[in-house]
Amino acid sequence: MTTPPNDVLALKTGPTTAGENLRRAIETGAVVAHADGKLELAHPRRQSKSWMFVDNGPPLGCTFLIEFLFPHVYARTAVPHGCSACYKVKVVPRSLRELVAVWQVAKGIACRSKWGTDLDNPYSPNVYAGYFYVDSVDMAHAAAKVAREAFARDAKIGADIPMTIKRGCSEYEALLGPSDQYKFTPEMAAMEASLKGHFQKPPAGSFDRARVLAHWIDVAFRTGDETYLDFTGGRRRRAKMVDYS
Amino acid sequence: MPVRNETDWLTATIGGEVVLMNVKGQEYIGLDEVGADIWDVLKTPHSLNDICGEVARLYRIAPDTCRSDVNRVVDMLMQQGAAIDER
Repeated sequence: MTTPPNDVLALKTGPTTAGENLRRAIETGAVVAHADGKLELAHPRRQSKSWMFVDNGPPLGCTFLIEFLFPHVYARTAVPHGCSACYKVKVVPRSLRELVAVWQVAKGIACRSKWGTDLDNPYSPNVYAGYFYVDSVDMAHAAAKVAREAFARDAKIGADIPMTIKRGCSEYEALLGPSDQYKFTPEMAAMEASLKGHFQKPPAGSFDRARVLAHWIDVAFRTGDETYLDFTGGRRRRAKMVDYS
Repeated sequence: MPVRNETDWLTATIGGEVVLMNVKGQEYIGLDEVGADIWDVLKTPHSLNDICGEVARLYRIAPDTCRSDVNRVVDMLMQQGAAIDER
């Protein structure tokens, strides 16, 4: 395999071309360029301890888009074309009890989703969240309707659970402004298609489900959400400290 | 060798999955269905033979069939400090 063609990498969405951005990423060691033309992330994100995934749908390819293209090819100056159709229905459980209930309901909804704690997300004001991933704003509205009806039937959730629809990742909107103003061009699509053939996905590690569930309990305990006691048979995460006030 | 649960560990059952958490530290252990059943048996002291008997009864299998699984789970729990030898 050869390296990506230079004319494709001449695309400019900021002060420098995609080729210059990629070269800098290789020089700084963020991207490894192999002799066979494959491009690999030197430090892919580690497995999240926040999320449980419901794989009711095709893989999204987010690693290529947000970990490779966005920082190392576009230098954070443009949202990848591959993200142009990405919309999410965000669900905001108000307690661990509600998070676990919506996660269980989501397993029966034919849509890819993830469920967990949003506390480590610098772009979110919520402790817990869930996201359904869909391919258009119309699909997002349809998925939200299906989800709300399913949630309404569950006594632990109810029809009033907060839900919003957002476009793409929050990081994009925080850095580049309102998502309804994003610009996508055929040249971006062509470059991304070319680079996709060169991108080497990080190896999938084993997923530690217990780590995620333990983190959920910890987050509930640390934020004063005592609904975690539902799942521990009433036993406290930590012994109460002596209070000398 | 009678073995029992160490009481410093809480059991959390979330969405049908079981995780043990050390109430004094950050350690955690994920248990599969058989592991969770063994953990349940170890609420009171049991010998390895007795644990095999209990698991065999639960799953309607011969005790020898589950002996290696029981040994593996009990070894792991003891190594992590979640189960102790009562002697």
